[in-house]
Amino acid sequence: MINKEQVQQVAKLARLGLKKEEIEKMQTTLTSVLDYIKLLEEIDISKITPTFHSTPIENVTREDKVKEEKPERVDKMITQAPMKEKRHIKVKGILE
Amino acid sequence: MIETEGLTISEIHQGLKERKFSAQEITQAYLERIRSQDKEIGAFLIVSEELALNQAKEVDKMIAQNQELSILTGIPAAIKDNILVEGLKCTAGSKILENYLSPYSATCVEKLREQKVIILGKTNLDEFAMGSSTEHSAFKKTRNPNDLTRVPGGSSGGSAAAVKAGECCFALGSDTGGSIRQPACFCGVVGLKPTYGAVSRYGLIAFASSLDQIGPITNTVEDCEIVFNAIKGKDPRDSTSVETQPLDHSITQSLGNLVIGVPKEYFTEGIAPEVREVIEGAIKKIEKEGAKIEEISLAHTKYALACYYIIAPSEASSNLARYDGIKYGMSYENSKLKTQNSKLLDVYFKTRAEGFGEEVKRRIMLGTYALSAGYYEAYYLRAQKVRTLVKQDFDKAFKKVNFILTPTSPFLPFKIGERIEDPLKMYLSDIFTVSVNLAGLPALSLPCGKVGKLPVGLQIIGKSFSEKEIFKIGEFLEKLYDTRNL
Repeated sequence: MINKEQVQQVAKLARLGLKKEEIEKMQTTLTSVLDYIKLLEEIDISKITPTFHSTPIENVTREDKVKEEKPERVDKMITQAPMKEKRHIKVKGILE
Repeated sequence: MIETEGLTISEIHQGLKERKFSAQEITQAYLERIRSQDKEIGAFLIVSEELALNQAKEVDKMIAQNQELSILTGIPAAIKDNILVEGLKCTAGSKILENYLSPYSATCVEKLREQKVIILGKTNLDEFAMGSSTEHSAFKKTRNPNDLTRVPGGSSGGSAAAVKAGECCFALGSDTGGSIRQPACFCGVVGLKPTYGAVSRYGLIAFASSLDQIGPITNTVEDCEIVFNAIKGKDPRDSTSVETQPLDHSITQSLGNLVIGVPKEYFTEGIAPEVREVIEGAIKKIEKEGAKIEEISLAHTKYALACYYIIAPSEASSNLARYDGIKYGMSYENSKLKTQNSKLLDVYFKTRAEGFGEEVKRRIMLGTYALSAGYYEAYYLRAQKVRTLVKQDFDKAFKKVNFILTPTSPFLPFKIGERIEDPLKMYLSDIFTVSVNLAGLPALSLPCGKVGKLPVGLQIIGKSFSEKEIFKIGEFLEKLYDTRNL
């Protein structure tokens, strides 16, 4: 069983606020899913290479150039930010 | 009024060409159908009536000028609400994006609009496509048109229900672990999960990027092929997209010279006896037509679901980090609860606490746990290795067989509320569909029979980029099962 402190620690890493009842429910449901996932421990994977991607493509690159975007589209994006100043998105200070 | 239920793309195309009806009339017929049916079904989150009628007017002008119409011109369609359509809201079924306005269109939507497809609106889904019943939508429940007490499947439940109920001619969905095929199966329509990379994901709200694919949900296999051909192709804006090259071997003219693999692992644990009976009957019919049926083994099938429920939440926890209350979407900054001296971290924690639903939070937690220091190798890396084994099973099988047939879902559409309380029980809905996403293969779900009024779907799995062949055999089987009259 995953304990309450572990749930709180993971929630902190995920920047996820959880209420008291949510933490308790998360404890039970996460435990049941993690127990199910233990099934994978049956398999010997010592000589297997991982598949992170199903199609064999590698390092698709492009020139590092800024592409012009229609100003009205840029405006549409900026207007959706909760805090802005002129054409900038505003963020709270990260240093105390 | 035109009867829209079961109407196909080529039937509408023919009607427009012969001027039996105008694009505005056919669009009105679907809008009227939505008005009369959708209160019960709940397939749509947004109906874009004004946009649709303007688009239809444009098509009628083309017709009046005797311009050449492409096969999709004037066909009314619905788009799953995790795919962007410029100018319309895109919520992904989540409160966190309740007021998000798409600043651009997804590549697949642009491609449909180039052919003058008419957009009727956006369809309901499980929040961020995480679910198998559409019950995890933050906004409403969608009901199965075959039985209103049952779920339509998910996560593309709104799209599948809309097609079945005649509220659109076809719809787009997205499939990460079965989200096109399983609702298509539950509603009794056709759904394709294309090969990974065949369709651009640009403009699809990301869930698990190595598994997500956009695909069509339609009334017939022919419609499915038409829509797939319109949306596929390499897109510079999605670096994982590739140009589809049809496989070299000649497409069969009959079922006679085919070898069909039936994996024994799909008929043991977890399958409901009534589903098993219909599927076995359907496979016997193919054998009678002369195809060679071969029992095969996909030995790692029983591990695929566990593997998926590590990889998909891991990728999701990373993809959903962008919903931070700073750039767009719901924000604690705009909340009434906001205090004077709130800090940046408060914005993150409180925005996400308010904005995400229970299932999304659970998946973010699972993924964060699986990726956190000390657990990465035991969970994430192990799962990616098991994924290799799942893929190798298919590679081996396809050396012997042309296609693999399985049930799409282990059970019939379940009752609303039946599985919602127990996440693991809900996850088991995907047991026959997730392997295909892990291996990146294409697969189509086709109705092949019924139990009472509830449809049963057959899953046709092919080699990578064998969509054309899948459509060919799909059309044979559609005739064999008389799918349109089921």
